[in-house]
Amino acid sequence: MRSRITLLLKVAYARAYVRIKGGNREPSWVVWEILLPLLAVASVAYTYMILGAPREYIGFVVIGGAMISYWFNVIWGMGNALYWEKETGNLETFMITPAPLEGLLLGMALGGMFNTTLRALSIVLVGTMAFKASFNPSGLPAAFLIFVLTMVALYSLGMCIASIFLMYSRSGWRAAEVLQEPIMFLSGLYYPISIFPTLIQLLASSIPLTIGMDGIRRSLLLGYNLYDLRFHVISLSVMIPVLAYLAKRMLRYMELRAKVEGRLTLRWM
Amino acid sequence: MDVIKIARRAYAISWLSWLELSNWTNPLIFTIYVLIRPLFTLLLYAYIYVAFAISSGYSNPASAFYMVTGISFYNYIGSGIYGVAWVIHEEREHYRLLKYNYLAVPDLMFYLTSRGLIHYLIGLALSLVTLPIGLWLVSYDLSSLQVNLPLILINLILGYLWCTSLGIMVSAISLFSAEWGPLIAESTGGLLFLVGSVLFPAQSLPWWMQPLVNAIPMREWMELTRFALNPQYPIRADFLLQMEVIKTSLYLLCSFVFFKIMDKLVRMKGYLEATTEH
Amino acid sequence: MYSIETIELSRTFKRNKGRLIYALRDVNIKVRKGEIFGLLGPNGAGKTTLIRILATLLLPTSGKAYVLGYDVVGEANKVREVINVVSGGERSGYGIMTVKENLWYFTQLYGLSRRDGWRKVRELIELLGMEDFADIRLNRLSTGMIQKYNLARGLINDPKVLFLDEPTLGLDVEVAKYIRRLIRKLIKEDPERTIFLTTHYMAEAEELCDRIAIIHKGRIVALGSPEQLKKMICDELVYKLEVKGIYSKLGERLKEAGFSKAVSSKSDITTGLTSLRMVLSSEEEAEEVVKWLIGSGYKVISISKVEPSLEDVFLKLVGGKLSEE
Repeated sequence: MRSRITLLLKVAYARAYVRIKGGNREPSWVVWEILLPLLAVASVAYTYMILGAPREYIGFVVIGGAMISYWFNVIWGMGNALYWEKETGNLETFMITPAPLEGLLLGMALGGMFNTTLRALSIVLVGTMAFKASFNPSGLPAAFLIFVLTMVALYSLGMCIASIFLMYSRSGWRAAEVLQEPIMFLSGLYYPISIFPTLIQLLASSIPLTIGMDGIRRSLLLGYNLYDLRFHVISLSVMIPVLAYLAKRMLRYMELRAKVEGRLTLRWM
Repeated sequence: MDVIKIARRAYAISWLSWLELSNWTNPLIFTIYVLIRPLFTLLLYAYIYVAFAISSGYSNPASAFYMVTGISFYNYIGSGIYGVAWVIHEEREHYRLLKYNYLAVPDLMFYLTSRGLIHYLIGLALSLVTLPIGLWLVSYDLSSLQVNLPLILINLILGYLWCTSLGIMVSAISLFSAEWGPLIAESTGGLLFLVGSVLFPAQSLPWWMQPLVNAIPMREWMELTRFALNPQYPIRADFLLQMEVIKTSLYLLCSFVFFKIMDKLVRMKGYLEATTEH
Repeated sequence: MYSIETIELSRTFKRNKGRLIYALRDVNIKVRKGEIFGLLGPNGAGKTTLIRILATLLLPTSGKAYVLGYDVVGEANKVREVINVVSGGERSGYGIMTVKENLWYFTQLYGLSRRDGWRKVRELIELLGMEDFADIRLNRLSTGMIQKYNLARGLINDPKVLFLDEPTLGLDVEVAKYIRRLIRKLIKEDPERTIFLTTHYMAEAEELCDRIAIIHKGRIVALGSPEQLKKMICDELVYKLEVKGIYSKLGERLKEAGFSKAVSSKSDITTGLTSLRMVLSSEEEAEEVVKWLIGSGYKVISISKVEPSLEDVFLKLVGGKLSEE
């Protein structure tokens, strides 16, 4: 068991290394990865400013923009990872080694997280400086805990998505595209989900990102402490084992089906 | 110039684009796939108005019209620019066919232009679908619309020309980057969204962004579209149309020269077939 | 007018810390119309770089190159009309489309009319024997089928100069044989056509090519017909030796001991033998080699004089086998 975990961590480290090293080989990455993703956030921040919205709304946008980066990383950096490994022929090589598939996914996610975190931090930084978004530092510990829980839940969900990619690469890619905007809308990217009708709020609450985003906003903008956010913590803590179990089962099932149907090494491009 | 030959090539390339977009599923699922993203984008942005403006008593039909037309018609430009600017990355990194297409067509620019066509058509269809839904969502009085069809058509053609020229310039840059092709394509769309008077008037942006606003014909295009839907929309249409024509001509010229230079440079550097594989 | 002509053609690439790598150095070749011209060299010798330059995909750093008299730099569009490229180990079509759809797509890019396009597709499917998989998507094809498709795509515009970059790479014996037959047929059908072929396989070059250039580290080190090249070692003797045991470094040890630089060695774990192939200047030198081997504790099983082949020319010029480089 211990050696298996060690192997998983080694694989994850190695894959993350390739992702970070390769991703940052071209110096222009700073421009594309950090500055330009700010554009959507800036658009909405300006809209709120022109509509005369209170300052908190800008804070909502900034936190939403930073957090949604991780969702994109989950879809494209993790879900998409297996598909891409398959297309380049690396998956075949990987599958004949004893390395666990989860390690590969974890590595892709961690590697992608490096740039994503830079992107998220730059959104927060620019949001604070350019749009005068203000945050409550006393909420930082609670925000940090919720952030960590959200990430674990989100990346477990990413593993579920990755298993779909493993089986249906091209359709999986399209499904990921289709998921992008609905999740942006339902997670309350630019406004609190309390403005939605109750039914939509319920649906939205099943997404870890929604709960995480809401919790972090409440802690950083409204100064809520951990006790105030206990329902967020509990919800995420319940989601994590469920999603992790689901991810493991789905990954195994899809891997088996992909082998049975001969899709494991089938490139569609 | 053999027009039939050119048309035949353009048709085949558009056909490829269409298959690439649609042949992974049945028509019903494809329609749902195409509609979901713009509809949720509409909801995402329209809710800014619905949720904030109405609840805070800031109900303003002019703002509602502005935002919804902006989001709806951005589909045309957004889909088009992505359709053109994504091609280099897709052909080189995904299909590994850039070199064969490069050898088979007399000009890569022509290839990019043709690959984008279908994306503009889909973008236009989405604009037309999302516009009434969006206006209904913000309770806008549809009877106040008076469509100026000739102006819409002229504007669509001009939009296709300058946006494709911009896409070609962006593609010329992405020829040099195996890694950042998708981000370059997406970022250009994001830039147009920010400086193109989509959600708010571009004049509200800080002074240092104004040269960029003026350099891109997106603002004129967006404002003229609004004017073509509602003649009461307060702009100097003649002036904006002239500006759009001038800028479009400049874009056509610049994209041609710029792409030729970059095409030569990329072959000089040996990056034409560069891929990332990570 | 030559089909292909290069004059002092060079190409460098910048590697880490600005270090210049010479992919091609002052390459001068003249290929006649109707020729099957082979370019032979180990990995990284510059074969693909030369094809990329001739196919207008890469610009030379210096020198000139012409295809059917057109300058590959200044008249790239004209060059593209008369050439095509087929690479082994690649898939030159969209996996999401069938063989037929892919071929039709490329006929249109080359400007054929709709009807002519479909006629061409049918012709090529028949020529390449692809009837059984013409309606199957490319991502479902085997390596051999893909290479047949690749060749069909390469013939769509009836190229006057066809570049074949390792066309039989990774193929099984039957398909490779079929492709070699087809290459000969292409030249027979159109004597004006030129085929420029790069390969790893010595026997393939010897079997197919009218003339061969051997390229090593970006330079053309020999050029001529297979017979002419073989004559380069007609004053020398080629020996084949078998030594008991597995000694992967034996060739290098012989070179270090001062014997011929042209030595190749290959160990076979199934027989437990190491085979050596050496180009030597005299029978006395062969005796010296055997003495040295016995003196060094090796058990020599056999020694025989063999007919020189193109492989030995390569061995003499480059100092190793193609696969060892």
